[in-house]
Order: sequence, then structure tokens, then C-alpha cells
Amino acid sequence: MPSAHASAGADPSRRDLAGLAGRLLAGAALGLAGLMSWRFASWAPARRAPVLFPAAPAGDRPRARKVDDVILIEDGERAWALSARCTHLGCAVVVADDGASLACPCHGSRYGLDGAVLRGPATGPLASLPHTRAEDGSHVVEPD
Amino acid sequence: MSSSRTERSWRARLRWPTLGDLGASWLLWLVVSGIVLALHYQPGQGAYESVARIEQVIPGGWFLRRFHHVAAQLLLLATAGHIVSVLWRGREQRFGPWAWAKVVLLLPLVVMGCFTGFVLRGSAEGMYAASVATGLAASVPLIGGTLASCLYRPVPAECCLLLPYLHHLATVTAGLLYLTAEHGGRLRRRPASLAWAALIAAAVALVLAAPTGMPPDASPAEVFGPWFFVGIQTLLRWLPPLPAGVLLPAGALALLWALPGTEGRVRAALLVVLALTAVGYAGLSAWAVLV
Repeated sequence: MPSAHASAGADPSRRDLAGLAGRLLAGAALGLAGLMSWRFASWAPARRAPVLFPAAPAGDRPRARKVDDVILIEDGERAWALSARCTHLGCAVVVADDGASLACPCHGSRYGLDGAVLRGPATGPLASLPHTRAEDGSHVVEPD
Repeated sequence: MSSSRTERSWRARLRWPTLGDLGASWLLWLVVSGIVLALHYQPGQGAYESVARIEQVIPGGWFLRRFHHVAAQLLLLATAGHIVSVLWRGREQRFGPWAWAKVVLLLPLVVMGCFTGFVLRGSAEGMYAASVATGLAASVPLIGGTLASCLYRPVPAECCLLLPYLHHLATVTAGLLYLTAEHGGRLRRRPASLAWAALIAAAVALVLAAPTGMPPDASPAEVFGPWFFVGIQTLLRWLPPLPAGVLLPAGALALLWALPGTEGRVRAALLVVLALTAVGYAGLSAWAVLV
């Protein structure tokens, strides 16, 4: 006498197939959800807002000013902008006491005012940033 | 007969708690004190000011903040002490693989809770620490960028602390409550553990201040991360980020996790390596602060 289960159920091979299809669908749905979550988590805004440096009287030697994550260096008529993010692990560098170099307070890296590494552990120079000088002498820097 | 049984039962309840029970109790007190602190905390550009307000203006705020800070440090010490005590008595073999994995996972999760708390002060040190943690996460091959994005996003600045706040309140807390669920059942049978834990944390909080750090716009010549990361901070001066900040700590945890599967000389060798690592790390941290 056949069991109630066997008589009521479908062919075992068909049940296996349905189970496999169910697992495959569930796996695909989970994978898709994971991929969407990954892309969602990875997205970052393209740029930050420009940083404004007000005009300041010219000095007799290079001078560095820092606003947010941007450093502006002025040397007479010349001016250039650097990212303040240390290339080692991203700490914000500060203008050193001597005024002639930039120092990372986290792990001790040192950079020259041109952004070149003077002392590690950082290995790469600070990123140069595009900047424009307005007629009133102020500077606008585009952050990275 | 029944009165002596009752007496024994009360004695058992008032018995000095184990490190595990104390840790679970401090975790519960952290949740309670954290909820109260959250009433006046602002996770954003005003975080530092809100911490200062809690500390200096709001009645009882200084004590509540100290209590929360001290309970977190005690939870970290109790977790480490609990693991050392299990290893010292050679009891790690009694744990099943998943139970031991839960014990090992507790350590990084508690560290993450303490670390996000450090960042949430909104001080200059906290911002620097968040940058370093993000940089370390980003150094992990393939998944680093996304991992870093899930931990901390400096842009926009007005809500840069929201992700650490989310992890502090939800991710870490839920994980810790799950990993310590078994101790929760023990606490119901031994409620005195909760009282002991509160008394110890309150007593220490009366004498140990919870630092607020430097204002976020400060430009310090040198900053230190939280005390438990000073050793890694020092290693990062000499070694590349991936080995110093990711592989070494993960390797130590992996060795700890693998311990129950070993015996005899292999176990002894692993224990020596772990002990030397712990002592070396403590020495490195002390050297960095003193020199």
C-alpha cells in the first residue's frame, strides 16, 4: 500500500528539481541584493564645494594657509594649492612651526611647501589642486 | 532546611561575579547610560560642543559621561581578561567552534565600540582617528574602498559623524548583545553582578575624568589615538598600512581562534606567540606615550 505522502506528492525527481530551482532563485535574489547593496555603499559624491581663501597682504617669504582640507601657499606673486590629506593614511597635515614645511600629526610624515615628501612614512607627494585667483586677490581652490 | 537552602541561594546570588558576568553587566550599563547620553548628544559638526555641554552645563552630565566612558574601558579590560583567564586554565577546548569564535569576535567588536565612542567626541583627535581608520580600511585589497565608505564619510561635513554614530548605537551594540546573550541568562540568576559592575564603574568614574580632547578646528603638532590603538599608531610609522594596521591584528585574532584545534607543543607555541604579541604590544604602546 503506497504511503499517503507518496500518493499525495509529486514525482521525487520533480520535487528535487523544484527544490533546486527554488534554491537557485533564492541564491540569485540574494546575490542581486548583495550586488545592489555593494554598489549603493560604494557610491561617493564626485567633488566637494570650492574653498575660498580671502586676499591677504603679500609677505617677504612663502606663507601657507589652511582651510578645511586645502592648503594655499603664496610666495610673492606665485601661489599654488595642495590637498591637506596626508598620502599615508589621510590625516589632515598642518603647517609646521617653522612655516616652511607641512607636518602630519598622526604618524610624523613631513612635506615641503611644494608637496614633496621630506620624511616618511608617507611615500607620495601631496596632491596639487587647481585654483584660480580673483581680481581682488582672493583664491578659489577646487578640492579633490 | 528550606531556610538554609534559601540562605545558600542568596549567597550564590551575592557571590563575587566572574569577569564574564561583570563584562556583560557593564555592557548593559553602557546601553542604559548611552541611551540617556543620546538625549543631549548631537552627531554632527556640533558634536564637540554638545559633549562639552553634557560635561559642563547639563546637571549630572559629567558623571553620566564619565560612567559611560569608564564602563566601556572596563568592558574592554574584562573581555581581554576573560579570554586570558580561559586560556590560563586551558578551558578553550571546552568551547565548541562557534562558541569560541564568538568569544574571539567579542574583542574586536568591543574595540570598535570604544573606538567609535572616541570618534564621536567630535574632537580633533577623533577626526584624525576616523581618517586613519578609513585609510586602513581602504588599504584592504579589492573591498577596501567600499569598506572605508561604510565606516566614515567626511562629506558632507555636517553629518560626517552619522556613520560612526550608527555603528556605535546599532551595529556594535546589536553584535555585542548577540555575542553575550548567554551571559544575559546568567545575569538573571545573579543580579548582584549588575550591582557590583555599577558600583565599580561609579567609583572609578568619581576619580577618572573622561577627556573631551581638542576642538575639531585645532591644528595639533602631534595627536594620539585611543590608548588601545597607540601601539598600532606607532607601528604605522615604520610599516606599511596593510601589514601594520590590518594583517597583524587580524593574524593575532586568527591565532587565538585556532587555539582550541591544537594541543601539546603546537598549543604551547601558539600561546607563547600570543603572549609575546600582547606583551610586545603593551610595551610598544607604553614606549610611544613615554618617549
